[in-house]
Amino acid sequence: MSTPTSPTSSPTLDISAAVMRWCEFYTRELPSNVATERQDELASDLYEQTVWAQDAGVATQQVRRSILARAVRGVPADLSWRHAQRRNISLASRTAIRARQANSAVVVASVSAASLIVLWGLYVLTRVMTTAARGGFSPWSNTTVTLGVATALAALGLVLMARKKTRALGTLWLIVPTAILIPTGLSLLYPISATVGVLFNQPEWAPATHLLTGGLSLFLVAASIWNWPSRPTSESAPGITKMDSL
Amino acid sequence: MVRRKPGTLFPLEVQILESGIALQRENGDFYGFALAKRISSDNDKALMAGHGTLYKALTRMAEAGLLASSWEDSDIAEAESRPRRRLYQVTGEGVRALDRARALIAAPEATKGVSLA
Repeated sequence: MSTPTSPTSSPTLDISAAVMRWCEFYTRELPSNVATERQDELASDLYEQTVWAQDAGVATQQVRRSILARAVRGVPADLSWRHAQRRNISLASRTAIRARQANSAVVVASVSAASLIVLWGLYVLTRVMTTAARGGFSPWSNTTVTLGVATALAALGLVLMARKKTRALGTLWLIVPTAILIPTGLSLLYPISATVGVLFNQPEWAPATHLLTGGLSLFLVAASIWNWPSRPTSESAPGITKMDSL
Repeated sequence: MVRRKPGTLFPLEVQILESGIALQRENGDFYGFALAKRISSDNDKALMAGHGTLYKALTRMAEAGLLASSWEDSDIAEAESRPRRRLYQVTGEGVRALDRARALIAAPEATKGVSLA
């Protein structure tokens, strides 16, 4: 707050100081810029009225009464203005908390999904390698190599997701390895896993696999859009002018 | 708290726009006390607007885009040994809002005139 410059011999010094104390009281705990602006504006008003009264030859008692009356008449508006300012702060902080919670939930869900995809690739590779070692045959086939490359791509996506700046890109990146890893992994497990072998022959198997792959891909697209760094925000709804909000 | 229809103006807001436009024509802009004094003299009233009433209305109108506000250069204020002023100007939106408010006020009077004739 800039110091109010009052004439040293001002007959309104004490009354102006009292009005400023009231202003400091009702602007307490408000954001400093809001409080300072109100205090500065009032300090200017009090100064201007005092100088104007001196120049116009208004009697001291009359100008003191006028300042006091203006302060008293403004009390209800001061209090409702304070209430509105505090409500704005409360609303803004509540909205910010909700936005942070939603962001955290999306990040946790997308990172968990990405980790599961990478783990799935590693699990299938391990199963294939272990079975090949036991059976004494080479684990390398085109499908295994595809699975290995897709797992590496998924791991790269997970690394990209670790940084806020590249999170959206990493999430989007994961769509391709996800679309490869699920069907390829299942087809590799078919001859070596009894469970997959049984499930593979069920009529629901194919639609369930498509649903899982499609659902995960859609989720990753949505999470990527959500995490996109330059999400535009709009101050007012389209079609509603500021005047309408008065 | 007094409620109003969206897009309408309170009497004090109409006075702020009318007196603000007049002051703006003379000086290019206006500040709180000059406006309070002008409203008081224009309306032939001894009472000036309360501090809280006036500055709450000015803040609300600036937020609604009816007024533009900026703080005076502190060098100017320091050179004149006084606190800096917050300077206001009525925007184009403010002028249009005033025209609409005047039309609304005039409409019932015109209707009354027709029915009397």
